[in-house]
Amino acid sequence: MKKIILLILIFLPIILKAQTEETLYRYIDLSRGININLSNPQFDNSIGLLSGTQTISSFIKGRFSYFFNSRWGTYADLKFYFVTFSESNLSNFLPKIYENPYYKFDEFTINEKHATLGDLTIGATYRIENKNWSVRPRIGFGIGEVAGRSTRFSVKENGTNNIYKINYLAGNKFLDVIDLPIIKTGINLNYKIDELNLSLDIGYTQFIKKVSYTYQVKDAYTEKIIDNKKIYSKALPSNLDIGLGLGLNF
Amino acid sequence: MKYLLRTILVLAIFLGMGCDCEGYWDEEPEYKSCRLTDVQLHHMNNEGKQLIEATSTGVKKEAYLLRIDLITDSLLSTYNYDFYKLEDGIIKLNINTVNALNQDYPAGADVTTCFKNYPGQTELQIWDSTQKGDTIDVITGSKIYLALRTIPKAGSHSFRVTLTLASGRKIERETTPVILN
Repeated sequence: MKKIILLILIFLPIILKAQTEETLYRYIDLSRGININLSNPQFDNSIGLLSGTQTISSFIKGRFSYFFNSRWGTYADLKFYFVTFSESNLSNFLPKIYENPYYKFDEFTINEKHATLGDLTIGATYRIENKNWSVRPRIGFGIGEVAGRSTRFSVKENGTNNIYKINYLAGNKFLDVIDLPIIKTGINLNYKIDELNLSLDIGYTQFIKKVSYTYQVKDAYTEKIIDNKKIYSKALPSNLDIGLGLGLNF
Repeated sequence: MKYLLRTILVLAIFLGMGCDCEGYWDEEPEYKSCRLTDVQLHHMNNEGKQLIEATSTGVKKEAYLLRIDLITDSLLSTYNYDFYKLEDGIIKLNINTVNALNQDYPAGADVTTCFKNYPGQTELQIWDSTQKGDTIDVITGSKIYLALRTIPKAGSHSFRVTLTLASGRKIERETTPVILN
């Protein structure tokens, strides 16, 4: 027994080194493909419409994965996608109480047609592989961006001098993106050619918070706030991305 | 948490670049000098979508607006991109009612505070900055639109407008009567 323990102790550094060499795997993956916006803004309220983008857009993605052993690892993933805003008619955003007998003017918004959005995720990944193929599913948490167009317009009451300013502010400011927390799952199918991987990458992004806008009505003469509330989109945004890419295993 | 991703990216970009914006905002435009020669007063009807000049039938009392046209020795036009500065700026703009405006404002009372700068769509508008204690000197338009924000009693009304210039010179004009109903 003592001999066995002694043998293990002698060979432990070598065993550990061998394991380390075998299990320390790093991957860098780059992919490009299409991003599908799964939340259809047509069935949402005004907020969903303001932040709504067209269904298909293109994306690029980079990911670094580090495996602790032959199975489990961690990853960080950064994705950018280039969206086009859905066509929106501002009359949809005029609150009912400010319809007739009011006149709408002084619109300030929706000049932006395109936006670049991103999301950043860190999480856990798992590896199943044979000689030529490997499959790496993953799950992570992070921050994702939603396109947000702040809009502002004024209404004048018919028959009086009264003018009100109506603001829909993305977040609290005039920004074109809103950061929200996300859960992201995905899978990476790889065909290995030495250290290189040809990969098919599929990802699903689920936002876990609704898009919110600050709705504000002000008296245009005094700038006094008459109404101020938060409005949330009906749906939680979600995206599916499918892309092809190259990976480096080292 | 909020805007964290953007912040990280912006920081990363800023690490690699410098910004030399010094003095950019300090540049004053070159002003053309002009002098105020006269003032014209107009009654405006703001009942509809667009402002129109009041007719003899009168104006709804909630929709009355007083337009003060500044007549200068320089011609200010709609598509004028020059900056004009009054040699003798307006430091005070007073409006007095000739007839009793309502119970609170008898004949002759100072009703300046009842008029507010009109925030709607107008042409060649300049803001009455004397309401905030500033001087009107840089002028990019020639018309001051003041909306009556106190409901007057129905009837015939006229107003006396007094402009006090920095030199102490005063220009005083009185409107023709207007029926507010």
